[in-house]
Amino acid sequence: MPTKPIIAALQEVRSAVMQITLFTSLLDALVVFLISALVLILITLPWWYAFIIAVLYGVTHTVRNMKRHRNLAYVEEKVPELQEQLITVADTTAQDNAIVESLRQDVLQGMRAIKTSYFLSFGRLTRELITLAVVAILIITSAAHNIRFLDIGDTLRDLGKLAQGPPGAYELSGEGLEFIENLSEDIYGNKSIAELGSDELQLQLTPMLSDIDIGKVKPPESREFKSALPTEIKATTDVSFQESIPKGYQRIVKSYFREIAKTS
Amino acid sequence: MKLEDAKKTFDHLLHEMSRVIVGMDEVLKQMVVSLLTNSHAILEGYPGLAKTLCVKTMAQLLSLKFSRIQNTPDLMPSDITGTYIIEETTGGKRTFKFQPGPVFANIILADEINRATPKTQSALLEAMQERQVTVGNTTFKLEEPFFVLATQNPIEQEGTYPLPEAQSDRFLFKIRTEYPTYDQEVEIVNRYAEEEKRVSLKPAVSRDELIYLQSLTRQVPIATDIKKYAVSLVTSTRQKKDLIEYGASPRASIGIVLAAKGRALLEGRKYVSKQDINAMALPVLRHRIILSFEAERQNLHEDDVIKQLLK
Repeated sequence: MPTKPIIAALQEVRSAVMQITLFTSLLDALVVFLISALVLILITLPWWYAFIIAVLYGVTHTVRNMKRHRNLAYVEEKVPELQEQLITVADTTAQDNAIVESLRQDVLQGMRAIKTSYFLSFGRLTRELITLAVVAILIITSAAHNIRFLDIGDTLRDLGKLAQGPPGAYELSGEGLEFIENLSEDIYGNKSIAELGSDELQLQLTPMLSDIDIGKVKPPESREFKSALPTEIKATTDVSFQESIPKGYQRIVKSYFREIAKTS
Repeated sequence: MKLEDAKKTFDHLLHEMSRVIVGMDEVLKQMVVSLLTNSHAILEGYPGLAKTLCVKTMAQLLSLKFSRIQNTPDLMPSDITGTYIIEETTGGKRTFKFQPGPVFANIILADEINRATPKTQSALLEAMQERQVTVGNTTFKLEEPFFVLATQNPIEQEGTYPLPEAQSDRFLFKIRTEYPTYDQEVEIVNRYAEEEKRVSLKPAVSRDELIYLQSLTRQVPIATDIKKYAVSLVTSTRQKKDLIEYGASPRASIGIVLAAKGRALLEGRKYVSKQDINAMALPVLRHRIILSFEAERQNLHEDDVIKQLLK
């Protein structure tokens, strides 16, 4: 019997196993993609990062599985009737004698019993498909209700501020409770706080949560504003601030109000 | 002989042997494997365990020339190899004629080989290795198949000359014979302590058939992974320094693969299995390793250490 049929048969088995390996790896990568996407949405990170994770996982997983499954010992694991015969035949394609030929015939006969289903784990496939469905539903639900467990960006920023330490610096002199003022140029507090009011407010409206019914929108009401101005304007100086506080404590009080202005 | 017939022949051979020998299935199989691989074997066991009977029975079943050498300290090399004798012709002329010794046979039973002196042992071992004998200036080729089955006793070491490691390495197998089980011993008593019944054995394998089977043994294919497993097993004997002082040589790797092929053929398989390697590891390796002091301190034997390696 010529060697060719056995080589062709072995090649056929190998390619069938490779196809199944690719399919299962693809399915695994899809599961990883969906789970990663869900996690990324919940921690408020761009969902497309999941692509990178899935591609990295898919490539490493496929390469590892292909290396393992290329060996015919993997086929023998699934088809115990051909245990040690398949690898023997594959390793002795160059040999030609009565025993080898007889073994090839036996193996060819046995290979007819190999089915694709031997290499598919139906239990695992079912689990993966259920996982895919569940994770897909979770992604849709979290998007619909705008569920976020954590804003990782904000958390990182807060952690960064914490790492920088508390605002302002207090120093205690050796004698005890004498407060040393962190002097500022402006008696009314920090200028940056005063400028907060001019910042643009960033708001994001989630369309899914908008309950606006365009049909119910009414035309704007007209309002009347009084244009009359007060007839007399008086300006007085408040002297109580300096009069009632002892001179020695005036700086402490001044600093106290300044700090309030900073933290508000 | 067809491949399918080989299995039938072995079954018949082992069945015929079991008519004489009670139990000892593994010993008999190892002897047949040794025969198939065209190698020699040494049987070790306590007195009265049918070592000699095994060899004699096998010789009867193979239609081959059989001779027995009872080794003693005064046995000379020429007693084994043969020597030149003066022969006088009818005309009164005297010539030297070579008188072949017992080594000129196909199956040789070298009984109690460790009782012969190293010089005599060397003469036999040289014949085993080279398959030829040189007497004077003439070299005589030994007839194929040439198969030496030696026996030795592990006790009564006084007045013996244990085989050096290099010489025991020439034997493919060291086959250990164990005591029979209770039931087997009752069967032995039934067979040999009652009325003597001579078991007539007919040759089961001819010389040509044996040579064909030997060539068939070498043709049994073996997968690369299994070959590597066998070599790893042998090399591991050199790496386990805590229990083995000196490991097995590459000759053991050749021997274990060859023996596994023989066992596969004996079992009627067309390929070598890992089971064959494991089964042949003990008889192939046990006389090729030297245990360390630590192993002896732990009261371990060669077989215990090899079993550890197989795990």
